Amino acid sequence: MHDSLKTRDQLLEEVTALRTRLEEPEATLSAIQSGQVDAFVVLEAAGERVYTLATAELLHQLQVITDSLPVLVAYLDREGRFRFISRLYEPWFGRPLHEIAGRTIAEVLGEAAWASVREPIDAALSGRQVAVEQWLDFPETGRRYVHITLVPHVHAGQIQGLVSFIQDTSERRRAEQALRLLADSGKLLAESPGGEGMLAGAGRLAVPALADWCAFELGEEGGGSRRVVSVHADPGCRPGQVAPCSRLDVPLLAHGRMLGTWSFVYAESGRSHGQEDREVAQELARRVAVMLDNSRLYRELEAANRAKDRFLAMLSHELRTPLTPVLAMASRLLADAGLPAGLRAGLAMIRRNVELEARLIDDLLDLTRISRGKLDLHCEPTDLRQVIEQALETCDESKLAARRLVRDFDAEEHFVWGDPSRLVQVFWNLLSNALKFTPPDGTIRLRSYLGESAGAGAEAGPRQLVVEISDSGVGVDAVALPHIFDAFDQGEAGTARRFGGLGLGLAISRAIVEMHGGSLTALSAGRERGTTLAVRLPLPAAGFGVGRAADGAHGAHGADVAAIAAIGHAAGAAGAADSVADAAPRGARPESPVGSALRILVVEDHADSAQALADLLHAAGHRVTLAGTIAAALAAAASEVPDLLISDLGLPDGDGDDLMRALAGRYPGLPGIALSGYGMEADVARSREAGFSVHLVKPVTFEGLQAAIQRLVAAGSPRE
Amino acid sequence: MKDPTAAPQDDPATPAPPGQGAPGYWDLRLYVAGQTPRSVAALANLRKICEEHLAGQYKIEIVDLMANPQLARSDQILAIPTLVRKLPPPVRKLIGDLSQTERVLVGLDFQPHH
Repeated sequence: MHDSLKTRDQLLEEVTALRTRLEEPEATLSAIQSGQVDAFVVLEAAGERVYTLATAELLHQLQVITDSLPVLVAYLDREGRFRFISRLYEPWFGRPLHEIAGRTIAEVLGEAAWASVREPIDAALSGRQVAVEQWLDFPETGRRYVHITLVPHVHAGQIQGLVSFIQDTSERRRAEQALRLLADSGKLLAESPGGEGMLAGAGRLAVPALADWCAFELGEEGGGSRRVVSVHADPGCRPGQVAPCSRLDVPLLAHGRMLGTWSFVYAESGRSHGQEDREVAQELARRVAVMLDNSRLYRELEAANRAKDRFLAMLSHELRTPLTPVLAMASRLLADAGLPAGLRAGLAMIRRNVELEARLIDDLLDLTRISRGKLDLHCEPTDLRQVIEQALETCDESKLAARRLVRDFDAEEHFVWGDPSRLVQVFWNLLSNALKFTPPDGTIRLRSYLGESAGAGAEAGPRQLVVEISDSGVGVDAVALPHIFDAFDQGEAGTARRFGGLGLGLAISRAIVEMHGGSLTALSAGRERGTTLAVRLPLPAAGFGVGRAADGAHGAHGADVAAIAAIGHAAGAAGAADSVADAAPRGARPESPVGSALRILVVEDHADSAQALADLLHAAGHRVTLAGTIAAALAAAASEVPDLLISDLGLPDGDGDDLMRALAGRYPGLPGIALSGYGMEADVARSREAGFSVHLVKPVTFEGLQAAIQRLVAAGSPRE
Repeated sequence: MKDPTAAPQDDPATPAPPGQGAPGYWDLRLYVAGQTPRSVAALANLRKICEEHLAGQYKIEIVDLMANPQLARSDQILAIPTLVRKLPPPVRKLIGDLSQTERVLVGLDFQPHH
């Protein structure tokens, strides 16, 4: 053969080539033998495919890793059968891995659980990655709140199955719920006025998070306890309808006091309370208890405050009642033209001081009104110059006479929208203050001008009428200046005395000015440099159209100081208006007393007051019947029907309101004037409601009473 | 030092590092099958050897045949892991997990400095 003739060189070459070709298979074999390879590429009909020898090892690794995860990991095929599961499933499903593998979810967890996850699983098997949070029932651990992530497994363009991750978020959810519960309770408690409404709100927070129903039992005064509120998650169910399966009783403890018990009950749901539930319930109960206790303290405080207001009102009534006959008598005596001059001065002093005392009592009452926001203004176009003159007329004449008074009323207009009586009160306070500070021979300067409200920037603010009252007195320290308007709260105890009375005048004045939309400020250059008090009141944009006419009448008042009377402060303003009757916007009122004689039934248990009133009414031409009690008044009315009833409200055998109601029932249209030491708005409203046409607050001057009678006559209400 | 393998490893479009084609430059391709124990061992061994002996003078490309079995064709790969030395020529294959460092160095044609 030709082959047998190969040369040695040829053979060597072939051997070398063969050896080279064998090198790779040899190296491969050697590597396989020494365990250095664990996978091979095999050429199949469909192409190359990799086979590995390490399957078992890889599977073990996979199991180790998935078992270590704090989530349930599983691979499900397209039929929803478990193909791979991490070991965490064992305690959750209550069966070994090989009892789960190859089964469907329905087989392992039951049809109900399968139904609850069917939708996300179908979504994942259609190629969408899904993440849901939901409740899921497990055989061993029961109902858990889980976060489920489902990732579809796509291979070669086909969905092969899905990888499922299930994370137990029950604890986190519970913690979040507890936090939300406590936050909601904070909101509820902050907004709740307390009481049973608050308990019902708290109960609604607690169900169903902490109970199917809950109930509050509160301790009673005399011992024992009473169920106050119960709240059921299902309004259709009654507490106790289903036997409780878990009950948590938490004490309502506040400031060391046991107020009651809050019971949380699971019945219908079959759930039970854990330690976390107990902690949240206790915290909730603590908050509710503190709120309960606070609202109790608040109620007690409010009751005490009401009692204080009532006491102040009663006190002022008792203090004022004796002033009425004194004022009435002094007024009547002063009206006697034949009075010797010395006696007249003495009587004037008596009247002035009684009026002063009445003011102090009024201040106390005003302060309680202001502090309760119950001071009402009766506003009308008001000339501030008249207000100031009226205030001056009721100031201490001797002090006024000893000091120089300069009026620089430079403002073009002086009409403001205000309550004349309250503004007189303000300026009386300010002038009295200036008088006290200014030594004899000193000067008090009154100045008015128009200004604009501060802080309006480039645009002019609303116009203001500014009235300054400057004294040349001792002045005020810069440090003390901001505090001179504080009631009872002045830095220096001695200052209050010097500001007069109870030190309330400036506080009340500022409150009244602010209620008018204005401001009251104090300026002082320091000690011994005098003080300026500035009142700023807003001017109406268009004026009242009466300024000029009133200007003409300016100065007409003051001619008859004695004629100016005060029913409280209100009649003071009314009197001033009378003296400028031709120009004043409220119109004219005849100076003469009542035009016709009336039959008047006067009911007053304070004998002196009753007699003084009767004398004055007699003098005015009326026929007066006196009664000291409701019974006597009813008897008197029965024997002769009166044209008018004038009655005190506090009577020995009942309330003046009751008398008015009884008489108005029997004699429809009978007008009534109430005389009362109680000037609170509620008191006035009550007497109006009883049928009184007019409510006069003591001390009542005769002029004030006459004016009221006149108004009733003018209104045509007295009976035929 | 920069790890040349930090670049996407089985992407042929990766820009070549400086010095490619120069003498003393190693262009290596490692075929693996997913994360089989030997594949991962080969990766670890190769990285260690290159860092120690060929610092700055090599490029490693990694081909996962589990993901792309058809890539076995070009280098006619049979057993995994297999390292292919593309440079310096001639092309050589080292089969196995590269656990015998001396044999790997010889196979790579690495001349230790004396």
